[in-house]
Amino acid sequence: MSLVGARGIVRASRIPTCQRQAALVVEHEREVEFYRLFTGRDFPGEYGERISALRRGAAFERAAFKNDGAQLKEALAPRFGYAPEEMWARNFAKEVPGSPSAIHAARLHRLTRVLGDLIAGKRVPELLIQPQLRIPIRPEAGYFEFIAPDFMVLDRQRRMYVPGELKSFPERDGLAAAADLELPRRQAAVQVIALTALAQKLMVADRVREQAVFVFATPFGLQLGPPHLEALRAECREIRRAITQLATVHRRLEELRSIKNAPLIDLIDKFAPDYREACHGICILAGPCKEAATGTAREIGDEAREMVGADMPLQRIIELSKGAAPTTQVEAELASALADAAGVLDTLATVRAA
Amino acid sequence: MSVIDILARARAWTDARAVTMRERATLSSDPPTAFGIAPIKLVSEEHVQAIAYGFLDAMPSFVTRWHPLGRDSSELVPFAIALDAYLMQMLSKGFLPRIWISDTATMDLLETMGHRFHSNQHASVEVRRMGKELRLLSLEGSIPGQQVVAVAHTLLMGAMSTGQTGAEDAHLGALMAWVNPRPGQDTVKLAAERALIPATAMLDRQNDDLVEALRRQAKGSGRRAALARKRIRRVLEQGAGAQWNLLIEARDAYLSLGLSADHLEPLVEGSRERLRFGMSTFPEPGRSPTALLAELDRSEHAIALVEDLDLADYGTRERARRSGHVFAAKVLTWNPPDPRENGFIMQLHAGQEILRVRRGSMIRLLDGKIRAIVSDVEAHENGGYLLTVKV
Repeated sequence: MSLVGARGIVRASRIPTCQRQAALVVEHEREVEFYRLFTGRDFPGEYGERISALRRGAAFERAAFKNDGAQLKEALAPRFGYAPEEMWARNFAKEVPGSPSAIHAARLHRLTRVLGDLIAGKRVPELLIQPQLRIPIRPEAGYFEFIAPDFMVLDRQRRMYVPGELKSFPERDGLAAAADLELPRRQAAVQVIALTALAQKLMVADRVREQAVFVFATPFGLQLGPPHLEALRAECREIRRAITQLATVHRRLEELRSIKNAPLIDLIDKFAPDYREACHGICILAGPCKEAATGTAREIGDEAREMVGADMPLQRIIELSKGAAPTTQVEAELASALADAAGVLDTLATVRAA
Repeated sequence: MSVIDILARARAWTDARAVTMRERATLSSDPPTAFGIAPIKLVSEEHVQAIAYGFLDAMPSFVTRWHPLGRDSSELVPFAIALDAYLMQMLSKGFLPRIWISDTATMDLLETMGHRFHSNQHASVEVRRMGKELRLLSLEGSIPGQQVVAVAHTLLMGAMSTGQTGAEDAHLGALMAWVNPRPGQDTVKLAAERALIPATAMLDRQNDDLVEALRRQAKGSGRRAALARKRIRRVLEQGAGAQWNLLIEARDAYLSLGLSADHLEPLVEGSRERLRFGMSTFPEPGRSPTALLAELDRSEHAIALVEDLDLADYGTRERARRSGHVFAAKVLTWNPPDPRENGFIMQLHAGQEILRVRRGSMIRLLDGKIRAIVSDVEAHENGGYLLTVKV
């Protein structure tokens, strides 16, 4: 699986301070292959979505888009003030079938025309299934990423589409688990920014709101639950931050390659990693980056690195707690608190032993 | 995270084993028999496909569902009967039931199972009752300080510090590498290896893919389909068995800490009352503003009670002291000098730098016998604060 499109941008947004990860995203690297090149061994863990999850996700989408998006229309109509039978849907996957890399431009062209019609006041489809957007990362250097929302629904009041995501995990009482929501919300934020970019070209960016609609499954199988319109201001901010980082790394890669055209693996040391707690479970290089941070405060968590400094050796923390003389300003500030903490832990051990 | 926690993690890293952070428990002692539930769900779905269950001092029983998305729920009946029998037996004998699960993902799964089956007309009476009981247990499990559902992972995380990050602690297997280090093995490496395999109520990838492939064959009829169903069941039992073993290991590790639990009787009594009432009526979760407000009120009260009781623990108390929520003070004056009834004024000197009281704050002695209202706070000439309180 490569870090292309929304997947890559979302990844970069989760650890926006890591240049190494941003370089992988810019290069659309296949992570498992890169891991092998980087470490000299195969990735020992589980990678990518499981077959069972992919199948259920695909089955959920199929059910939603079947019969001209009948189920999806049924779910969306009340929220957006339509009658389901009056909704006009265009399915871009049917209109322009083919492999993702071949159909980007054609689908994007069609969407641009739809938006043109919308601005001209003509009737446009209320529902667009699998439309295509494009997000400019560094447009002056021709660096764009193609983004494909599951669907977009027309907001009649604002005369603009709202990106939408279908997710097959179940919601309860209008809520999905917070952990399940983090990724889709960022994914949707990428779509919002891509839609804004297109709307900007057509001079109607002010119509786009930082919000998206989510449709989850009910707890009773693959039926669609009610839609949820959610504000995504924080996520949009995170994505913009990631885009800035990606543009910086893209520029740096260009500079390095102007001297010597080399594959990323030969240049990777020029891009600083930033090992954090969030790396676990999202980045394939979390293990090697942790190894590189062995014995420092980074290894015991983000809060520790904020408090004592990322590169403070754990052994030094122990020494200071035992009364070693501080040698820096930071150590001087920490020493008495660590000695006090040592007293508490030692007393606790005594109390437990008693 | 406090400096105490940072030092504890640094010590755990140096010693390659977790450091115990408490001397008092947050969970009361188990009743004579405790019940365990270790399910396996479909990945990214809250549909159960296998459950290992039973008394924790015996071998588990298993139920498996080869087609968990189907309407047939009859495979769950043995589990439903066992759960009901356990709850009823414990309550009738005057004990508070104790259900052990390994992590909060299991709790979410049981909650959704309860929601799905409690009024499902396609399900048997036993399964519907199981749905009601699971809903009730999930509701109870969400109340701070409750004493019925023991989540082994949460208990261990609250009682121990490891030499890795909190994000890595979220994997029960990785956490256990620090809690039960293996002699001669690198704890950091062992935890990292374990973290590569999901430990949250699901099969490992190889077996998940195998079951997914077999499920297609199993939907047919004839010998081949029957064999596929049999193989699925075997794989699911193995998966649930592995989850069960992890639950047992985590529970044993927590109990072996030997944390004193004699201060938790008010929490036990609260759980007992709620469960007794719930098992008799199975009330619907409230949705009206009044019901939600009542729930919020109950939750706030429970949090306050738990926080109060938790101060009996030395580690918790010392951390609270350093964050200014608990303080030690010297009595400087009192007026009248020979107080015979409530309503006298005292001046206290609290020597610590951080103190989270202000005019109007209610304070109390840790044993709860004397309460007072702070009427003034000012800096003390020798450092710390001068407090004027009305007892």
